[in-house]
Amino acid sequence: MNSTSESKSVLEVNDLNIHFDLDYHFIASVREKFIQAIKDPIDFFSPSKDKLHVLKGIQLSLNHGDRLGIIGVNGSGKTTLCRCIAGMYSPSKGSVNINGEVRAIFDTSVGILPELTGRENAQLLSQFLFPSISKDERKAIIDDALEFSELGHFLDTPYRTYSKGMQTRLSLSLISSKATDLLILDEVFDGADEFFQEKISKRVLKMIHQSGAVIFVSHSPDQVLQACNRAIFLNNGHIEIDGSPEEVIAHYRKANIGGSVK
Amino acid sequence: MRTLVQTTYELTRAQLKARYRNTFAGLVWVILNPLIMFGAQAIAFKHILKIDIHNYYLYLVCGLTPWIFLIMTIQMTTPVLLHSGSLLKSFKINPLVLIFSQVADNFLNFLLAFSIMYLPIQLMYSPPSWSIMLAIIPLVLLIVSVCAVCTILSLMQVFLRDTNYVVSFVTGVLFFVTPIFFSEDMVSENYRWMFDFHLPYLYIKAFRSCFYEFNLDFFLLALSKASLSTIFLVSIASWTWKRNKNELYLRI
Repeated sequence: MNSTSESKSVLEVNDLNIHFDLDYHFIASVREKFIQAIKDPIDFFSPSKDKLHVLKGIQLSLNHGDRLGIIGVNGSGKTTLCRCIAGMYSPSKGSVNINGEVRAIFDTSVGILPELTGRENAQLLSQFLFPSISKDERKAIIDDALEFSELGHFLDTPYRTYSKGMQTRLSLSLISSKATDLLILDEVFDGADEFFQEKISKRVLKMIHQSGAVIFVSHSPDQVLQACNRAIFLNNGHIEIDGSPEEVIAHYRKANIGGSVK
Repeated sequence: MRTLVQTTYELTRAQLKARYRNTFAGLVWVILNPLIMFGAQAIAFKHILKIDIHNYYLYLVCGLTPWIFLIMTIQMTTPVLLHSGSLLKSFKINPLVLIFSQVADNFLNFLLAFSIMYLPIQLMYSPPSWSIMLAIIPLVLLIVSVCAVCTILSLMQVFLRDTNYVVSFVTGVLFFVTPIFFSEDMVSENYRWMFDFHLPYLYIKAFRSCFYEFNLDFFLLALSKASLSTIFLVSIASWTWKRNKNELYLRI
């Protein structure tokens, strides 16, 4: 199954492979490298040819209206796939073509300059998240997000004094304030306190429905069922099944119990 | 490219704000470091060691301030990618923005410190000449090269965690073999050719020639060497970046 909708294509991933050099004896200092070069020059100048294959032959297409959930155990390649689609990784082989703007969020408790206030960090974060919008639109987005975060007078205190929950409130409020052509959310609900969780979930779900296409990574099958109309099960770097969320979650659970997940 | 420039500008602005909070004390701090360095070296080399160079204060300030910019920027930027690991992994942000904004921040501080120190010293000897306008060319080459070097070193720091200590050691040694407080003429002719391969000095030489005893032929020669060095450094940085970009996210 490639897509649930017949409308405009947003993403085309063809034969995507990502691999890294596998360094069994990784040396992380100039001093040790120097000692190794003197001690064993042959080994030093003939590095290991082994590769760590994180993604293998990924074939995926998303159309406007697709809300894709990615399910898989830790280390199955979910985040690597999302980062590659977001343009953070260059493919070792294959191609990723996106028709429109992509926005990807992998962690919600990060400030850019912790010495600045929450308000100033929100302003700066908006520059990174929405670089091409007008000044007026930016101001409207920031005002709306700050009000939604309910951080009150804490907005004018340094970001470094915020708890993880407060950081998540601020970031999630801003992230969820504007829809985009392709939205990638990787376990974004982690970190928010239980009172804010319900409120922000509604806002994020609203944005998910307004965006062109969405890739949603979560360890919670309930969240995938709620947010997505399509899912893939990623196992050991390749797509094992692509189908409806119910079908994929059932397969994932069965595979986990049966022990076929590597 | 437009996004890279725009986000670098915004981050530089925010960094300046975070560091100085628009205070007068912040402004004083910017010029305090080069001023103290200049004062100490002027006393040590001019009055104690009696180095005989015409218009010595002018010679020193035009060499020392770009050197301080270069070294401070390299030392501050080398750990930047490693320290920003969680930020880089959180959302799509070009890692080069973090490097370039740190360079731009220090460059503005350098321009400010140099302007404040240069003018009174120049006026002690004579009014400034038109040649100071040419300084913009070596300054552009300098900032491009510093960006390239900082890209290489901050990537290296991700893979080799003691790079910053090696950088501190090397720059400490380099200072004593760079004609900043002494002149090239004081070095034996047999060794002068080495200065053609002393990359930081190529930029200082081109920059200083605009302010100190300007000679067009000398300036053009210094500028061409600095340009070649820039092409070399940018090529190395670009190759290193393309080769290691993916691994960067694994190591931070």
